[in-house]
Order: sequence, then structure tokens, then C-alpha cells
Amino acid sequence: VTNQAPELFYDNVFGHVLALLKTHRRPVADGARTETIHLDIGDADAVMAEHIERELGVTYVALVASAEIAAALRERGIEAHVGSVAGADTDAALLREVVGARTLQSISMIDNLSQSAHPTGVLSSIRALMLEHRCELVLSVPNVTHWNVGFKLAFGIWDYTHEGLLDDSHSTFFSRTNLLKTLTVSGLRTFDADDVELEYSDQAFPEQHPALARGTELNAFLRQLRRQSGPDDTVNQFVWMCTASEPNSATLTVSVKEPARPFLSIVMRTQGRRIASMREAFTSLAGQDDTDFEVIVVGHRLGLDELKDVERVIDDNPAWLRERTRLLKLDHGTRVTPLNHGFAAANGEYIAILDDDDIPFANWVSTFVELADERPGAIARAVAVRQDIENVSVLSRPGIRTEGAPERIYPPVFDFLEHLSYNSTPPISVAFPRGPFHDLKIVFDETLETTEDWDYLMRVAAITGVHSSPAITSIYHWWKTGESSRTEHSKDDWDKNHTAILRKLDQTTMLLPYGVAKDVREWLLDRRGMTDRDVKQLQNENLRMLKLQRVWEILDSSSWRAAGVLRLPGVLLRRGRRIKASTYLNYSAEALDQVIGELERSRSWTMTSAFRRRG
Amino acid sequence: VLQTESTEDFTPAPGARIQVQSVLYNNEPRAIERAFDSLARAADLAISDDIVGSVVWRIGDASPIRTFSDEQLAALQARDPNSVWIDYQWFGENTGSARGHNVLADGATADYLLIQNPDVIHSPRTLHELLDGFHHSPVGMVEAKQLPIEHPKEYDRHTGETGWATTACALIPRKLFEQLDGFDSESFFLYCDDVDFSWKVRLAGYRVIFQPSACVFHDKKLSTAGAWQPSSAEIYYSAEAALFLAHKWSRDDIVDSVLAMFQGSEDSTYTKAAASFVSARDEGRLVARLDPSNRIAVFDDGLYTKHRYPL
Repeated sequence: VTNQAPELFYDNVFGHVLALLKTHRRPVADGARTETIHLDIGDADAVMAEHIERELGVTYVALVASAEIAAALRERGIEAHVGSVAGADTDAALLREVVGARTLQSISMIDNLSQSAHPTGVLSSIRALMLEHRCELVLSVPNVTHWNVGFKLAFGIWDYTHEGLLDDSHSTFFSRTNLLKTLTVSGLRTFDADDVELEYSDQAFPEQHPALARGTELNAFLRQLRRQSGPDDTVNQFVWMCTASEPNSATLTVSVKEPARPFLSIVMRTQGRRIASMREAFTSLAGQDDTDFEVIVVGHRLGLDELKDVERVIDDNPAWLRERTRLLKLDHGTRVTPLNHGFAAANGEYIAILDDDDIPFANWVSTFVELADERPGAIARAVAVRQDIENVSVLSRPGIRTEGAPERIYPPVFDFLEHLSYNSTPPISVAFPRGPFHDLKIVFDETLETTEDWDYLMRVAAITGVHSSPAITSIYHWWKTGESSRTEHSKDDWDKNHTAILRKLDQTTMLLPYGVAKDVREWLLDRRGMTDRDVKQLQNENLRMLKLQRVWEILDSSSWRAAGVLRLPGVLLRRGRRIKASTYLNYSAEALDQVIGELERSRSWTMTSAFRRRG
Repeated sequence: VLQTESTEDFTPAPGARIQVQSVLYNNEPRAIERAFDSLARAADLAISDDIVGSVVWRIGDASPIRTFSDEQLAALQARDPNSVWIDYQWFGENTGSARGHNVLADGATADYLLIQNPDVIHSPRTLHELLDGFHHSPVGMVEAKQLPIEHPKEYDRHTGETGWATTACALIPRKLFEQLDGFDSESFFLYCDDVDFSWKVRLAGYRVIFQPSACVFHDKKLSTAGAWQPSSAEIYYSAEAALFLAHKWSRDDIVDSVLAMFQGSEDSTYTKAAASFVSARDEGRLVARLDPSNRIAVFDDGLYTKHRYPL
């Protein structure tokens, strides 16, 4: 669309269209070449004409808008017809007249659909011809969701150009979703694609706009969000190959009204091995002050027995709770996969994780509601206390026994800076707004084996911020004995995942949340003060190391060792013992000075000075 | 009946009849509805398995104003008309828990009494789990584990045997309750009636069982510092009960030291509790003493049995 003098290159739209046609071409007998045609609708320059005839072995036929254009093409020896497909009743007659008695092998329409105010009509007319000839259509459509267009629009810029993504002749603009819907409604189904990707499109101006310029923080931030939130950020044109299918009555517009949602979706992972604690978790849910929630139990790799146990726990619940609980079975993935599965199925405005061994207080949901009311869209965070538990079997009935008082070890307010180093927010203490997962496609990282919740928390917190309540609303249980993610993974695994998360954080452009600049400043000032002290300590330590090194040198020197026979026990500090460098490892700088002095004054050293001079 | 060596076997027969009983005091109707739903489900499951034959929930309302109108009661019953029959009465006075429960138990014909706070949420198989305890005779009381904050008292990991049971949710054979004259409402208004009753059960030769597989949700709040937050009523009635309990269970040394401590306190809650005890003593209102050889009762720094951890 941006070519000044259009030519076919392998990486432009013409090259892509041709590549698709070649991939799916049907053999044409030599004798049938003139009777088998490719119809190209709307390309005034007939860029592909010679390529199609040469490489596909069929006759190229152009359908163009004006007699003048047609005449120019004919001068190039191209069969050209005048007319346009507009979704009118006359379309069918026009197309049949162009094709005549010949066999239609394929159709292409490059960047023309957007010019129509009734694209479904246009496509329906073409579909009728496709059905008659059992042929395919390659369609190219400019992508209005290219990041260049989107970022400019976010700052109020919408520039029509003579041609390109925002060609002033366009009546309809397409995203992937719209185009798919349009095809579906028109009775077309896409079966192959070769989209044209352009990092910088014809809309990449003004070049120095901070949202567009490659080197800005704003650009980096927006691009990383856009990239993960959906496909097509760099697609310039969708190039899709379609076949005729049954039209579907899907509507092209979306409803502005959101579906009725519960406030909270509670995702509960279970392997069906902690039935007693799972019962406790459900009993605690049955006691919530605010019951505007649904529960999504994700059963991960459940055997038949575990499945029956989990189903029974759910079925046993009071009707109101049972009716708002869904069990999703999942047989693949890591322990992180169920979170993505559960979040994807969540209908709630917010989504919380309640593992099958954690306990919410009655105000768990209601506190999240209050926080979300105060700062809609931010992560809602309350406080969990930690408590040790273990399995117990009283009179052969399995139960859970607490082993220690609930400990308030997690801070009452979310500290973004602190969380850049380590996590002090157990998953049960937060509720995530649905938007980051469902709209920005920020999902849990399934390559992490542990601390996946911290990684997710930080990636979402960096965008939505966190609104905290100091209220204690849950108990985060630690198993004293038995299996848990803490015991299933070694310290090495935890360290590895921790490092991986830090690396990811280091590679991310983040918004500095409101108020954090002040925290950073205070922290820096504090750090500077500490550095002064540290510098002194460091200088002392460096000095001490130099002296220690000197002791080492003396004792390790070949001259000292050679003079072993000369050493007399008791002449140095450690009377009666063999003198070793390691003896002095923890000596202060001053003490080391004394040692060095004594060593240097020792008979062994003074008598071996000759060796040293040579060495 | 007390201090007898021969015990009765309270192993439940199929189709056991249960009277659940709760004393209301200014509770939120919504909390009672949730509690009813959970009790009805537990009853439904137990009845389906023929472990329980019938469940009646006898509610005594000690609030100044009725918590439920007749229409509200009908609506509450309509949430599940089949599993639990509600029998509500308004006391018209604040009976406290001990007397309230005695009134509710009066005339009961059920096999077991389930003493519970009105707002506890049953786990679906609470009745199964509590009744199972009576298969291990001689057992006189089986207590459910409370969520979210478990009581920290010690119990045997295998037998569940414990020093005393809270009546936030505890099952007692009706016959034993009657034999032991129910709760001591002369000495206790709100707290320690359950400690005293548990000790009477043990004195009569029965075991008191804590069963963690039977769990109920009885919401508590922790302060933002993570500490337990007793209400002022809890502090007063606990303090008062401590003195009456020590007296009743023949621990004059405890009475003396606690009384001296309370009387010397700068907190009026404690001086008031001390005054209440002294006045009962001076007026000859204290009940007869039990356990003169101190076999059963434990007074351990304000606790009535060993605790696993401080809370």
C-alpha cells in the first residue's frame, strides 16, 4: 500500500499474495492455460500480472475501476475489464461476464475491501463466484490496529493519507477480529495466511513523537504492553487465503454492555491430595460476609480417586455455593498452568487465588470489594498471616492441625520497591483486576516452577498499581510436614526461579507508581548515608585484606618454607603451634600489623632475606 | 451422678435425632441465614446416609428485640424445609449462654444436643464427624474444630482427647447433659460454662474429644498487628468466670491469687469482676465444690488446659 511505483517484492503484499497462490495452486494442463484464469479485482497497476502468468501458468485478468486504467493495462498486453464489485445485485452479472466460459482458478483482491462501505456485500458477491468455480480468494486488508496507528490515536492523532493504512478512500477499517467476523458473516473461511509485517508503517510520523520514536521510555513501555496484549502490532496488511463456506449470522458490532459478572472469581488449584484442607477452605468460603463470587476449581492431573474426592467436596457444599462452583479438569502443564486455565475461565471483575490449603476470614471478599470500590482496576491487597499446619488423624479421621500461632510477618502496605527484590505478598492476600489478564494478556509464566505468583504480581502491579488495606483477611498456611511447593522444589530451584524473575524485572520498562518517586528518593538518601559508613568499612576491610595478603605472602613464600628448619617454636605470636596463614584470617588490621612486624623481625625471615632478593 | 465410675455407652444408633441449639444475642439475620444453609446441608447429607434421623434447630433469642419476625422465620425455614426444623423462641431477657442453653435443652427428646454459636458455618460433614466420635466409648462430648482461628489447646493426635471443649460447636448426648444438670448458670453467664461442663463430663468418667475433621467456620477478627482481639464483654465475663471456676473446682490458691490480682488492677473491668465474685461469696451464692483432690481441673496461668502455642 505504500509503494510509490508498485512492484512485486517477496516481502511486500504482492509477493505475499503470490506466495499464497503458489502454495495452493492446482495443476493446470498445458492446453488449458488460456482457458484458466486468475481474476485480480481492483489493482490498477496489475503488479502481479506477469508473475501470475509466468509462475502459475494461468491467464491474468484484471477488473479495474475505470476505462482509462483498463486501457493502460491493455497496452501492457493484460486482459482488463472495467467495473467494480460493490455488493450490488449487478455484481454477479459483471463477474460472470468477465470470467465467461473460462475456468476461474483463483481470485485476489488487494487492499480494496476497505474502500467499500458494505464489505460483506462485496465478499458475498465474490463468494457466489467462488462457489460456481470452486476457487479460492486471496484477500489483503490494511490493519488499522498497527501500533503506529494505535499509539498516535492514543494521543489524539488520526492522519489520513492518500494511500496506506489510513488511505482517505477507506470507508471501513479492519482489525483481525472485524475481518474474521466479516468473513464469517459473508460465508468465507480463511485457511492460510501470510501477513505483511512492518515495524514502521507509512503512519510512523511524526518521527519524533515520543510514542513513536524508537529510543523513548514511553515507546518501550507501550510497545511491550501492546506486543503481549494481542497479535498484529506490526502487521501492516492481513493477507489471507479464503474458501467459501456457510454464512454465519454473527453480528459485526460488539455490545457496549458488559455481561453481568460476579465481583470475584476465586481460582482454587488442587491435585486432590489435600481433601481435609480443601473442605476447610470451602467451609470458610461458605462463611463469607460478601458472597458475590464464583469458585473455579482447577483439578490438575487428577486420578480417578482424586477426581471423585474433589467432586465430592464440591457436591457436599450448600446449594448456593455448589451452584457457583465449577470444576475444570486439566491434564497437562506445570503447577502454574492451572492458574492460567482458571484465570481464563474467570468471569469475575476481580480474580483471586485461594489454594486448597489456605483459609480466608469472613471479610476476605468484602475487603477486596471495598478496595476495588476505592481504586477500581488496581490490585486489591489485604494482609495474610502465616500459620504452620500439618495433617493429623484423630480417631482415624483425617484433619488439619495448626502448629503455632498465626504470624503477622507480611507488611500491611504493598511496597513496590521492596517487591522488586522479594515477595512479601502471599497469593491469597491479593485480588487481581480481570483486565490485565483478559485485555492485556498478562498471563502467568509457565516456565517458572515456583514463585510464579510474585512474577505475576509484579507485572500487573507495574501497570495497575496496588491498593492496600492493613486488615488481616486470610491465613496463608505452611505445611510443617508433608508435600507442598516448598518441599517439592529444591533450594536451587527456588534460587533459579528467583533469579529468573529478577532478570525479567530488570528487562522491563515500568511505570513508577504514584508516590514511589518519594520512596526512591528517601531510599537513595538513606543509602548514601549508609554508603559513607560502608565506604569506611570497605576501606578498612581492603586494608585488612592487604595486610592479610602480606602475612600470607610471608608464610607462603618459598624462602619462609625453605627456612623451616630455622623456625623455632614460640618465637612468634602463636607460641607452641605451627604458624599458618589461616590462623590470622579474622585478625584486625592493627593485629595484623603486629603479626607482620613480628614475622618480619623473626629469625626465619631475616635469615632468608637472601632467597627473597633472588625471588 | 458426678464422680461415678460406671459410664454409659453413647454410641449412636442409625437415625440419631439431634437437637441443635443456639442462643441469639443481637446477631445479624444474614449471618444466621448462612449458618442455617450450612447446617441444613450437613443435616441433609447425614440424613441421606441414615446417620441422622432428624434435626431440629432450637433457637433462643436473648436479644432485647426479636431478631426474627414470624415472616422472617418462615423465610428462613423456607430456605430448606426438609432437613432442619427451626424452633424459635424469644426469651425476652438476656439469659446468657449457660441459662439460655439449659432452657433450650429443657424437655428435649433428641438423642444428642449440638450446642453451637448461632453464626457458625458447618462443613458439610460436621454431623458425620462429630457423631463418629461417640463410637469410641466412653465419650461424653465431641467438639468441632473452629476456623479460621483454631483454638490452641492441646489434644491427643490419635484419640482427640482434650482437657475441655468449647461449645462454639460441641455434641453432647442429651441423657448425659441431663444427668450432669446441664450448664452451671448459677456460676457462669457467658464464659467458662463450657469448661465447667467439660470437666463435669470428665469427672463422670467420660472423655472429651476434639475432632479436627469436623470443622466449622466461626469468624474471628485479628487486629492489624495479628493479635487476638477479645471484646470488653469477653474480658469481663472471662475474668469473672475464672474466679467462679477456681472456687467451684476447689482451687482456693487460685481464687486468692487471682482475686488479689484483679482487686489490685487499674482496669475497672477486673475490679468489677472481683467485686462480683466477692459479693456472691459474701451472700452465700457460690455453688458446691467439686474435685477436691484436683484430679480433673487444670489452672495453668489463666488457661484451663495445656495450650500448644500462645494466641
